[in-house]
Amino acid sequence: MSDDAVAGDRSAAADREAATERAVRESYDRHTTVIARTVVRVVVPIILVTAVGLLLQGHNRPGGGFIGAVLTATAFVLVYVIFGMEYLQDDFLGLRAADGGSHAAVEYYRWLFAAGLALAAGSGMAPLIAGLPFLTQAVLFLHHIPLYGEFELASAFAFDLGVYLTVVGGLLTVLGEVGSE
Amino acid sequence: MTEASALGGVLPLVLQGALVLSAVLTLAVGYRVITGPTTPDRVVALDVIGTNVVAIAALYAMIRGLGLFLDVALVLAIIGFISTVTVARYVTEGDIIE
Amino acid sequence: MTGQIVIAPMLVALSTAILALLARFDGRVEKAVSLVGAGGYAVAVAALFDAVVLAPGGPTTLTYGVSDWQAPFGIVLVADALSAFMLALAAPVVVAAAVYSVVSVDERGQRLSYHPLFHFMVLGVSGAFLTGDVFNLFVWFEVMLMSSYVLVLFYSGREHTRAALGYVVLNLLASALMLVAIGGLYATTGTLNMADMARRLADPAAYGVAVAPTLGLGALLLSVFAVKAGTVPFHFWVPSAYRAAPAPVTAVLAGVVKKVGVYAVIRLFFTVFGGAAYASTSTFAYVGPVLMLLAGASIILGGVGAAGREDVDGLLAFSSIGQVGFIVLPLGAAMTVPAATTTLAGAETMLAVLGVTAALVYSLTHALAKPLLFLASGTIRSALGTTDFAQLGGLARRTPLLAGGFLLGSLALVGVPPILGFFGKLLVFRTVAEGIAAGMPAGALAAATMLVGAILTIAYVTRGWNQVFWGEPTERVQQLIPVRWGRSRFAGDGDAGSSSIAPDGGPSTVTDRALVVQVAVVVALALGLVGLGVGAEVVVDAATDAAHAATGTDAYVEAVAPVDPGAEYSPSHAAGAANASDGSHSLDASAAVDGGER
Repeated sequence: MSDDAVAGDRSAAADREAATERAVRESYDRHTTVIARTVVRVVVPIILVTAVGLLLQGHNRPGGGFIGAVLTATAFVLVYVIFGMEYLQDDFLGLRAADGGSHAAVEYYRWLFAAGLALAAGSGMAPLIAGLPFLTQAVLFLHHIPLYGEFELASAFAFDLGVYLTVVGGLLTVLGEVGSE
Repeated sequence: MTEASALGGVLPLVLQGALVLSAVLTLAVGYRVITGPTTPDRVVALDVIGTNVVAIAALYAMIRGLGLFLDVALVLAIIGFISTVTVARYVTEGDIIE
Repeated sequence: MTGQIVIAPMLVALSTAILALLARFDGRVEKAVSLVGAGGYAVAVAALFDAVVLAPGGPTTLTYGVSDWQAPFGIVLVADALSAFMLALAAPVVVAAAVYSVVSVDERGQRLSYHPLFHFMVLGVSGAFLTGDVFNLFVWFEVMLMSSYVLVLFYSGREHTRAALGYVVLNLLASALMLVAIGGLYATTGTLNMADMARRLADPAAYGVAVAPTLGLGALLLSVFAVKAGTVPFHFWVPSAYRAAPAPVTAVLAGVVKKVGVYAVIRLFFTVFGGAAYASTSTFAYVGPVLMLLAGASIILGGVGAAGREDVDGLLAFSSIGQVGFIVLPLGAAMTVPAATTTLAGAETMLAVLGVTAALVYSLTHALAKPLLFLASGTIRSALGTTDFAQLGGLARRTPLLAGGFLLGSLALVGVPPILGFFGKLLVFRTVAEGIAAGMPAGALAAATMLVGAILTIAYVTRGWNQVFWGEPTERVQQLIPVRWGRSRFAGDGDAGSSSIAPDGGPSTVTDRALVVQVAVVVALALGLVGLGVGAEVVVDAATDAAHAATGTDAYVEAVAPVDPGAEYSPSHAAGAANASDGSHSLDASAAVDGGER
């Protein structure tokens, strides 16, 4: 056997390795174009900021926990659609599907759902301690805050946050379960 | 009264003209959605409708001076973007989430 | 603050559901939470009943402005005697079903959030009973139905899923119609608060309310409630859904969720539309005859259907259609001639009160008897894997306690003293008889229908009893329950359970302890039926109080006392503004109209 042949074998092995690596990568993001991936990278943070903005202004302007949560869920949908199911939980959140089949992140989404419900109900029941009716809300205006000026601290925000977590958890659970079917 | 009228001059007229144009365009594109020979035609037409609705919301916000309609436009734009991406992926792949 | 008692049942159910959701990491903790929550619910309901019905100085009405908003601007919870009665009817069923669920729902079912959903359903039921706001009523209907959709669809076998889908589709459609009707009522009357709506409808001219649209809207609402209550012609979801759902869920569906439909009819058509409905020329005059028609058809169809079934579950499901007919019939009879006088508990009252009392007492009977029978049927299924008549027989010798419970439940349906069912049926018959005396149209037909229905009830109950519990034990029974269930079996080596088989033929996972608990629940319900029958006077008194609360529109309006925004905010209604300039004026007017009719 000549040296050339050995070198050819080596390069073939390197080619195979590169090919498997490419196949692995392609299994993550099969057929999504660079354009789509780049656009999503830019857009997802914007969507999340909008969602949080709507959540924060929800108690006295249009917006609120529900629409904020829906927008957050759409950001996740984009990531799922463009980067695939596994990208989020394997590379981003660092989770591994325990039993292989089910989407591991779904378990966390369920917790989010329960925690949100508990928060919303808890914020509703807090006034009971003070002898006020269920869901009674209060508001506190903080003045002379550096950079921000006046800040409105509303107890309704706790309820909104609960709604937000519940809806995000619920929608993502549905998404994860349906997506992994 | 409203911001647009406070601006005065030709602006309200332009805004209302743009509103009418967007509405007419939406209806015209509706024809493509219904007849459109292939699915991509319909997807593009629906995307145009979505964009037009965003434009209408934004124009309405300007005419009436209602900032909250800008929120509506923003949310509509985001949802329209996602629906187009998702449908496009469905058309090309036959599957939405890998 | 004592007022918090009004919302207590809802808060207990809500907290239980959320805690059960949080406790999903461990099945036993979740079961414990569910049990404790059901017990807490019963305690909360008892406290509320005590505060409302047994209040010193007669039944009272408690109101609760959620989030500290006043009626009619915010949502108000109103606990009057009717709400308290319905909650008291729901509580024992909830406790029984929760105890039964703990032993009968398997691992997989529990992973699908069975217990949280169960308590969300209870929350929806409680909210529907307590709310004083029409739109809020819709919301609680939805909370209740959303949970029940999942409970019916996901825990049934594949063969049932398709049939149960009919339940979901029909109820979604009904909910959409209900929303349309409520929107129309809001557009017509300008309010969603029940008390405010009653006040405006009783005196439409003063508030500038056009009454004509309420005819169609009322008809829409009536059909929606008929769907929820499962009367003819919307009965077809009942058998498939009841067979698809697991036994404890079916018990709650038949025992309580159906009664929510009945409650909504009573609340809206007697309390809210009451001021308008009692005038014979009003837009709501059609409701009485329509209700009687629905009831009569339900009684006949349910009876015939039940008599022709070949399995216990199917028999019970059809029977429940017929029994709802018996509940609705006195309501219809009372509405055709509401102002006729009669005597009840030694006092002279309107026939409307008697009719509602009859419906409530019958509801209570049915709310205890039907869950009992469904749970007994579920026990048979978990022990034998089937409820087909062909494979059953001679169970009375093997399981005398279960047979005894089933017998008592059946006799309650038939109406044999001293079980509570007797008094329910007696009051229903009396309502119709006095309705005939007061010139009710088609009274003879109604009476004949009821007689036929009663005979059909006896027929199908006898048939079911004979097929399942009497006769020689069939092969399947002998194989699976070789000896009589008793101490020896359960205290023995305990491998008798391993001989059970699941519906698909594989070994069943049901344990002996689970069967003991299931039988105990059935027996407890049966004892409750007998106990309430012996103390029927208390039940009838409570029902009479509830009926007075249901028909007393003025007292209801006065208790809720909605602020009258019309006084300041209705410049367009010149006449209305003049009349409503002091809020009490219109109240007095409606009281005078009502008093005149009595």
